[in-house]
Amino acid sequence: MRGMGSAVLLGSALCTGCYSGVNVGAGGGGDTDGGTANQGDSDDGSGGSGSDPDAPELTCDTVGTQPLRRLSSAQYWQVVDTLLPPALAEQAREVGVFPETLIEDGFTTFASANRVSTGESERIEDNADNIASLFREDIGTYAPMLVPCIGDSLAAETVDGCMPDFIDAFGTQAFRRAPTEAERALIQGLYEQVRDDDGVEEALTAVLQFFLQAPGMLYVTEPGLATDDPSVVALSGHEIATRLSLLFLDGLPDAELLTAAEDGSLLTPEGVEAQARRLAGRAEVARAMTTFHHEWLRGFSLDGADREHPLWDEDVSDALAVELREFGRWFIEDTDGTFRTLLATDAFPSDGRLNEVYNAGDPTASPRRGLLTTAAAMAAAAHSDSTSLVERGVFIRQHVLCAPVPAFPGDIDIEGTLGDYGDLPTARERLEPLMLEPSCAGCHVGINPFGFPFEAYDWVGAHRLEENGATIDTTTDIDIGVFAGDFANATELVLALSESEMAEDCYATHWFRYAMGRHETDEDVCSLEEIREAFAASEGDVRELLVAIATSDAFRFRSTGGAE
Amino acid sequence: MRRRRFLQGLGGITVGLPFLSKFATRSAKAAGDPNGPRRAIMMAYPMGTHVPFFSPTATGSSFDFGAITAAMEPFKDRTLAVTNCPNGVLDLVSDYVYGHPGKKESVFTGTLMRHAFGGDGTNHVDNVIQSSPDGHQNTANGPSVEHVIGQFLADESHMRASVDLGIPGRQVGEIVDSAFFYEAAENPVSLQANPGVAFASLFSGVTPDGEVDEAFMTLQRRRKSVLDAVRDSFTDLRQGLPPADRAVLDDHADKIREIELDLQPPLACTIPDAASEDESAYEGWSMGDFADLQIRLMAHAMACGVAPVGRLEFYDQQNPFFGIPLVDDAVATVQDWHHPVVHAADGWEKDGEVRVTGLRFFVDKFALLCAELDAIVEGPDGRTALDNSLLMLGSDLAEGDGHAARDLCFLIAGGTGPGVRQYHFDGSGENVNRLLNTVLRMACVTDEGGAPVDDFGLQGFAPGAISELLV
Repeated sequence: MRGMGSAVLLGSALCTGCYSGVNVGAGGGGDTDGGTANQGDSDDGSGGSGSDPDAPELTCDTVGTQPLRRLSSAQYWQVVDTLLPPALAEQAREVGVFPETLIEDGFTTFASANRVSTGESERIEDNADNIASLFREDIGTYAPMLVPCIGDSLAAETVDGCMPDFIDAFGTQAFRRAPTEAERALIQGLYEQVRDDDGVEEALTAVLQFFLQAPGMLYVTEPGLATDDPSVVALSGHEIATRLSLLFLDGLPDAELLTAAEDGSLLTPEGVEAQARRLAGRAEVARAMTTFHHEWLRGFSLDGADREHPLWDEDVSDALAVELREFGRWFIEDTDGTFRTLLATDAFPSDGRLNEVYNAGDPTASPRRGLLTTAAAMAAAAHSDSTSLVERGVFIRQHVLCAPVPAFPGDIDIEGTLGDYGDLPTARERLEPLMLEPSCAGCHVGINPFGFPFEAYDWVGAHRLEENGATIDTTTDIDIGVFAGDFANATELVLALSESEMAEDCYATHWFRYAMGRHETDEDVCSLEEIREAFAASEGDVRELLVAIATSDAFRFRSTGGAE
Repeated sequence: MRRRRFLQGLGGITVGLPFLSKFATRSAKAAGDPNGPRRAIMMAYPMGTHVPFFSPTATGSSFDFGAITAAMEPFKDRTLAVTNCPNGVLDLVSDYVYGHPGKKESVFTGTLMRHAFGGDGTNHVDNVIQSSPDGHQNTANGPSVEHVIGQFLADESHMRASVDLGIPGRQVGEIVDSAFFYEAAENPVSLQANPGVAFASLFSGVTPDGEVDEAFMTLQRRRKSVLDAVRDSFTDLRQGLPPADRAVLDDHADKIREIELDLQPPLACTIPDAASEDESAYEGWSMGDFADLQIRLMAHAMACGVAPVGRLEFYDQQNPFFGIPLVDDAVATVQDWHHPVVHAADGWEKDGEVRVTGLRFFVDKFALLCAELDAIVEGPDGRTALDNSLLMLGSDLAEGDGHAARDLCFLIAGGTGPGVRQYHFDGSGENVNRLLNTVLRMACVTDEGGAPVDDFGLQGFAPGAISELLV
């Protein structure tokens, strides 16, 4: 155990030891994925209760229940880019109306962010229809690219002959596994029905339209492989390959990963680790870095944002909206990729568009350090014409240290509560009295001290020394037990955070959430402990953190959640 | 032009909802109640009203409308006003006393938000827990009343289950989740807030002279074949998954089914003038402009028999542009209209002209809906679409200042069903749940055994109907 992490994050530690492991039942007939958890339902073979000495073994007592995830909008488009000819994929984005994933909680990878409402189901269908119509309009150009087997012929007998292989190959890519016999028959049936009604061009279009909204493509289903513990299934090779590709590449498995899924090597921790290390070294891992850091720091709140500020213009708006993504890319490509660097670096990527913001005020008074003091991070946690001391405080406490914050009480009569204090010049002066007001202190005592230092940055992230003519006091005194100290300004605070085990653990927890698409549960305590320890042992290497997540029990197994 | 669907579908919704399954549907019966309405249309607006100006001058059948409800005068003989009606379920959770949480969600559903229930969320008063809204599960824990009416009235003549339109405050929208209306627990209705998309969905495929567009039908055929295959593929995919995962897939498959049901030949009927799907066509539009157009589309669609239920929702409670200079000029001086003005803070008097004019707006638009429907004659007996409808107007609050929900005000209009008549009822001794039970009686909704439905919303909380209203 590394101290405070589990207690703060999960409240209880159900799993402190390891046991002999759960064995996957022997699969049938040389299928390296083994038997599925659902006996008799699948083409993968039958699940069984016997033990296999080469089968995956749990090192933890429990693993969490994994909700069914659907691809996020970013992942969907990444998949479309891979599946379609480039020219068609480019136009597809222009006509596409795939519902954008909106974060309510956590990350865009969360199952809860991708539930399908009635409106979203319509958009998914509309999106497929729009792209298919695009294909249909220029089918003479696109069909040979999509189905090379047909050459330049759209004669029915030619396309008929190519269709089974096309369904198999395209389906394997789209579904991240080979289509089942039932799926092959279904798609072939669709093709033949539309061909007979309206001709081969319509039929080929219909097949593409199907794939673009097929649940096998949209959903990350994980029936898993039966183990000798009925409450746990091991993920199959293809299921692990999908999790790996979504985590590291934000898209489809590459060829080597699919091969590993086929040959069974992903059923061992060593095999998963080897693939995870390979993927961590690929350039595409920058996608995960950009998405994660953008969403962790709530960069999406800057999309379409408006700020009443003399430095605000279109360039600044655009640059702020992408700064956190760019920071994530730069961090993994151009630094040592460690947590400490992420929070403490004094170098920043820049295309020059934010120079005025970064040079405002007296930058030397509180030199910026790391991601948390980027202009975008500050602007994201701000109002249109003022800072948000509370929002910033909540962010640091809850999202950087994973310390609990009481639930927001809803609609508050802010002006009435502030009373005469509302006329004081600085946000600190206005909000400090709330730390003494009984009905407010429960929240504000724990939140405000984390927000005070960041008042040195205004609502576009520019440095400032004064607010309404009064000097801004950036000092703070924080004491939440394992993280405590007096800090003169944001620089000192973020440097302390960069050295903090609590913050490092919290960062690992957020990556766990991003990877799993859900919050951690008590059943994940053991996996999380191992992940945090591996992260710490690597001196905070973020690539190693991802490898540790990928090799964890939580990643390779899941609770059956009451499967029948 | 292809039809893009946005409306709620028939069927599927009752899966896993034993509460709803006990209701009969009209198609399951030999015939509907000939005295009941053909359709129900609900209109919801945020932030409440000014109760003294909303209330008619006297209770009973002889009254004058208040300043806010004056526009209903032409329909007085078919209007029931209910005032001062407490939304009692909100008293069950202390966090609902102040602010907005739970208020929109409860007013037409008669229940609390999902987070206020323990365990599996059983929608019963005994399962209510003290729980703060937490950013999750903050949608109603049951369907709204018109959804139940819709299920009862639906039959094979309807293209779909409902017509659901959102009214933007100042900028054209598209799909918006309703805060007031729900198909089921945690399943808000999707509102279409782009009038052009709504028009296309409702009326494309029909030429102005009633001809069917063949190219449109060809496209529909392909879509239907694809959707059939997509829906079937869910069946294969769900095997071997945990129940919770299967439920997610089943829910999506149900929604695919709803889209398929939309792919019906268009109804032959009189269609209104086309509305543009191009958002730029709505530059500078006010909430009043959007309301007028969406109300017209709603009236025509419902008179065409597209669906048994319609919903209209004013969903911008922050900063709408009314299109009324007196109001817009005044509220332009404050950041968000609703807090300082509707909450009557910062010197905005409760009965001041600006505030009352803004609040009257919503009743004016309800009166417009009545007028549009009343202009459409249905059948040789001269009865109008209004005569054959059940309409209801409601809001989440009573007096906006203080977020009060103890004295809500409603208007119910139409010309059929028990109780819908010229009447003003002081509901101070009643509560919203019993009013909703009464509305179900007005729509002649019964359970499978033909008995009235008298425990809608939060089960076990306030069963029974308000007998004074049912004459």
